Amino acid sequence: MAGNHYVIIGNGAAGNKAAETLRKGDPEGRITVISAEPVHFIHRHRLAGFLAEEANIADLAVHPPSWYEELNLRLRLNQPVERVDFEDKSILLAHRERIKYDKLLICSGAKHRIPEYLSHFEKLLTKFSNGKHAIELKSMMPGIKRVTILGGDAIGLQLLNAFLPAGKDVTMIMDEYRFWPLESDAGSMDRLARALEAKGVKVVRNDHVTEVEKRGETKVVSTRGGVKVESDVVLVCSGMVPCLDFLADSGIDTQMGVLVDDKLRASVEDVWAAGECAQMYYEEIKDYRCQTGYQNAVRKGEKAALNALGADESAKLCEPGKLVVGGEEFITYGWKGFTLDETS
Amino acid sequence: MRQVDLTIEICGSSGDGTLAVGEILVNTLSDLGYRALSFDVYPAEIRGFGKCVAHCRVSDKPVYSVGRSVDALVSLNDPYSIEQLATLKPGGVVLFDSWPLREVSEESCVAGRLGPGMYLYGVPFGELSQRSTHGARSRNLVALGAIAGLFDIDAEAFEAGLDRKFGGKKGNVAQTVKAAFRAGHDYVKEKLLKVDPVSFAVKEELEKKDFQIMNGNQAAARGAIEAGCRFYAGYPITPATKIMEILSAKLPPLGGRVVQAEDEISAIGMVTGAAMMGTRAMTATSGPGVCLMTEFIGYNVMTENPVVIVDSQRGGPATGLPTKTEQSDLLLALFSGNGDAPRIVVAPTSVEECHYWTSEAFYLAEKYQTPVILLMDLFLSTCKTNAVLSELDKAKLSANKSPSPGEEGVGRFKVTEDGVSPRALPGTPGFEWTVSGLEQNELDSPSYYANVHTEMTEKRARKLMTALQNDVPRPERFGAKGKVKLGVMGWGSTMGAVIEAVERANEAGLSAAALKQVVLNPLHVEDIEKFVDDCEKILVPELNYSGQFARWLSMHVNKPIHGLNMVKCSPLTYLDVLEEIERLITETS
Repeated sequence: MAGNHYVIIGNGAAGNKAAETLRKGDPEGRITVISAEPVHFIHRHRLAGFLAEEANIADLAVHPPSWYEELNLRLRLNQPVERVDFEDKSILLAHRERIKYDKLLICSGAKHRIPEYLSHFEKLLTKFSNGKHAIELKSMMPGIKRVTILGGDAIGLQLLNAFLPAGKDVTMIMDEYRFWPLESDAGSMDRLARALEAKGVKVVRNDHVTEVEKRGETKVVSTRGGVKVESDVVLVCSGMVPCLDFLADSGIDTQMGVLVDDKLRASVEDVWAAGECAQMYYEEIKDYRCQTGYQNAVRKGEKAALNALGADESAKLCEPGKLVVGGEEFITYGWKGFTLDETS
Repeated sequence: MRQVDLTIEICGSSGDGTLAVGEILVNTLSDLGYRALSFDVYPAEIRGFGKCVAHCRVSDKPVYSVGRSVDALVSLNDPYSIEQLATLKPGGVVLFDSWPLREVSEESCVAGRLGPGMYLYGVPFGELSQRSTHGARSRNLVALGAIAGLFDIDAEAFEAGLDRKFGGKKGNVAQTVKAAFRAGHDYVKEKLLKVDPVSFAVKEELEKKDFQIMNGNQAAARGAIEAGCRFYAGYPITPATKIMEILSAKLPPLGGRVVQAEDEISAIGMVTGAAMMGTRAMTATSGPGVCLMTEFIGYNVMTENPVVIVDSQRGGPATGLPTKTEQSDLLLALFSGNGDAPRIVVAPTSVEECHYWTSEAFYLAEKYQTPVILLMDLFLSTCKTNAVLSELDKAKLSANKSPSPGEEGVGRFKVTEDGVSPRALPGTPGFEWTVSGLEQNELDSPSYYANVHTEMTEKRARKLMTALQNDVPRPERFGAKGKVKLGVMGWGSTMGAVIEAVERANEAGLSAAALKQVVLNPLHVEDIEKFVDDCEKILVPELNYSGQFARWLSMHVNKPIHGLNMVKCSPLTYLDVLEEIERLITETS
């Protein structure tokens, strides 16, 4: 009898840890890892640094190709999932290939968030949440002189490390997602803003973008307060949301993320979810919560895989992390349930 | 060192236009100054399905052999392309149709079969073809556009090539194919992000020479025409048929004739007659045809008649493998037939040499009144490359040793010092002679005396020695000079792989040299012996099981020969040879 076919949607921290755990627990099983990304798994916090480096994106991969070969994993990069048919226990890929699974682990991670008030201008906005975005932005870097960052989340802050040393003229228009996922009071926010200004960033506070338009090659951002900023590139940095597009109308329970119990089991049989895409029920707080960050993803990925192998282990809320911005250390408890446990 | 050395394969089913894409790709890259070589793999049966692969190797420097591992695979048919993944390099690229007509299973989709270090790009070939041309038949041209877009190759150069190829067609064919090409190109530019390392970029602009894209069959046909061949008879056989097709169009306007005979025996018979009457005449066939022609080869040796026979080798024995390349007719070419029947055997090593040596074959045949067998093979016959053809020597258009006035009454087979007898064409008053397959004396009468047979046998052998001294070029040495660890001797189409392998071995600091001889009979034995003396070991790579060239050399040199004998149904690659060079030199060390 053929062994189990484990399919993991997502080639990030959670997906990789899940794959490794599955292989340890089931040496004979077939494991397929599917990713919409064209490049290998790269730590998100290294992407901003990549912009300023001479490195090839492949050099930043957390695991070399040999890691997948040694674990006998079938890696499918650049293959977005169109939908999951839970009744049929199959996955339809965007290129119309159907893959059957015995056990499915959804580790699809998170993607950039486009706030509703910016959704009309989405085509004019540059995103930065994965390797693909990093390659695209890097190719644009030589032609960029002026950058406007909308929102100003933690990724946006990291991007300053690439833009400022390169002499780019940076404006940050903060919205309510500023410094996401930091939890901080108005005082610390102001200190951070002043620290950024000291580094040469023009910070627009307490304002709201009303329009982004294109004039020739230049993009013009207008605010309610009457500010107009001309830019070569307008980056949206307003936090992250779980990647769940392929689960629309599939029958699985989702809210912000895939709803899972403390064993990371989803609402349909033989399906688990882990990492940033999972919204787990925590007994500690008697509520569902999404968590972000590498440690969260690794721990949940491992737990989901163990449970898919037959264990019955509960996951716990991850410890909060810390973030250093402008020389100040911040404890991060997350935004509406997110935490970031990386250090800058 | 090469800046660019890439191999691209387009894989599809018969009817997908797979080979057409390969042809346009090579032509365009040639226009841009790249050196390219393409080789098509296709099924033996003429039908509407079956696997086709266009294999294209591209470099900034001349290429003589196919690549063993592939940098980019374009799939027009996933089930067939899955097999091709075995040769895709780590870091290689796959372009595939991301919008098939219906849902496909895991088993039949190429997307799930890539190694973790490979790069996959989906392009909806069929959908883009439908949108841009209102039909799905241009999937191949969408794929071509995708190649141009992904690797950033000048799209306008492709469009110029499409204009050249389709511009003369009725209706708006050229516009349609360009629309499909542009759809693929633009899709890649707008939708895909290139993340792989495969690149056609060169530091300096490539020199654009006046290349002529052609395959060995085209080159041979052209060489024949330029050499004054005015009669061709043949029976269709893969991979030689194209020569007849070309000549059937080109010879009649020049006053020549082409006859499709009922079989190979008739064909060689007709060529024998035409040659005897003084017309430069040729037939082209493959191994099975040469088998049938064997009796006439001996007859032409005996009657000292100048015929040219092209043998484009394929896998054998018998009907064998009609569409797979092999080099297993060497001993057949050298020794076929009864008795001592010396003949000249030539094996061109490149497309350019197919042109030059076909022409030269007519000269040698006429000058030395002997059959000349030109050994090509399926690879050489069908591989296309950007050739730079040499100017042919017009003085060689006439090489017959006609009898001088006053020689009337001297027999057709007069014994001469150089072994070549004066040859009067039939119908020349005063020079009538009798034709027969029997041994004849100087007065062209049948004779069974021992001294006559000895004299005539020696004469027939002697004229080949004359040819060797006067008209057979000395072997050419490549690679390291002086004493070397390893000497490599190739022949025919595999010589290109040998030269490239030795070049790479030298770059890697290995002590190796190569020796090339195009004329395989008669051989410059002294030169070969000298080369062999310079080498600690000798390697002979060839595409046959029994090591036919190695055996032929062993009859002349007193040193063990290491054979690299492959019957893999595909051309030898320089890596095949290089690995063996490394192994043998390591052993020596």
